[in-house]
Amino acid sequence: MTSEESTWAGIIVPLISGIIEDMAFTEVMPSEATPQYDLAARGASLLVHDPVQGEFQLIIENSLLKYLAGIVYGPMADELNEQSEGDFLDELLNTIAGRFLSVILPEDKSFTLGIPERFSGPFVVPVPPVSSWSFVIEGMCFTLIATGESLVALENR
Amino acid sequence: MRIAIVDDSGTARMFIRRCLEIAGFQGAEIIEAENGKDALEKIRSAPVDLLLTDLTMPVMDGTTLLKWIKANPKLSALPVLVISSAGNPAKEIELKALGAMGVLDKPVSPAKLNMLLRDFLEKGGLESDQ
Repeated sequence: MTSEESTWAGIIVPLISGIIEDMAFTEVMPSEATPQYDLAARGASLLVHDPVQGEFQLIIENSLLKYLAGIVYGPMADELNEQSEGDFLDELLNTIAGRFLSVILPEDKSFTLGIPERFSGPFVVPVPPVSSWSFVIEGMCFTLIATGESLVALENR
Repeated sequence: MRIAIVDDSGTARMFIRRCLEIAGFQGAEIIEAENGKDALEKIRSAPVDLLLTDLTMPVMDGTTLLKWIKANPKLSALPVLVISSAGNPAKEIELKALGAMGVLDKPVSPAKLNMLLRDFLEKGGLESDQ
């Protein structure tokens, strides 16, 4: 399912815009097309354990990861390296997934997330059911993917 | 003032540290810990005036850390502020019942952090050097 078709898009687009603007003071635009990521990109995945089971993945162009991490680290940007950029990616995914679940789940439902794990290309589209949303910042792209039957089924409730 | 920041993410610790500086707490001595167990070890050996913690962490999570602190007579008066993306109204009620002074969503902003800490300071909960 693309961002254009997704009924979650009305939630996820402003949520991600708000998170990126709060963290990196940068404007985010939704992308109608799903970008093709080559090896010059990085990914992180995060399991949802409870009350539904699924996984969030965030794939981001290396140049965008460096750009955002550089803004967030500000005066400490000189200390950025592959490890700290990966840590920033984990934190971004963790924040997006947590905030998203807190919006889509009932207020009295707590949830449990795993610990983010990183992966590199080639990037394979996950097995359906899948929902994905892509975004552009300064001409560079990132994509959020939600997969897992019970997680994605929440969209149709 | 000594403030502990507990988060398994170095990015999150750095971001919260910067928010504290912008919010006017640049004079505070910051102690960083990567999980609840690490934090307990550090604050037992060198007490702090305020502890900011994430919830989801390996080894010992933030909820367990909060329970340990509030169950320990030597630490129970320590103000604990939870900063997490895994919060919701139900979790916030649970955490406050356990003794948390407040719960903030990630990404925390200097303005939100400042408002909550100033409010707490005005109630005499902390002694600031500001």
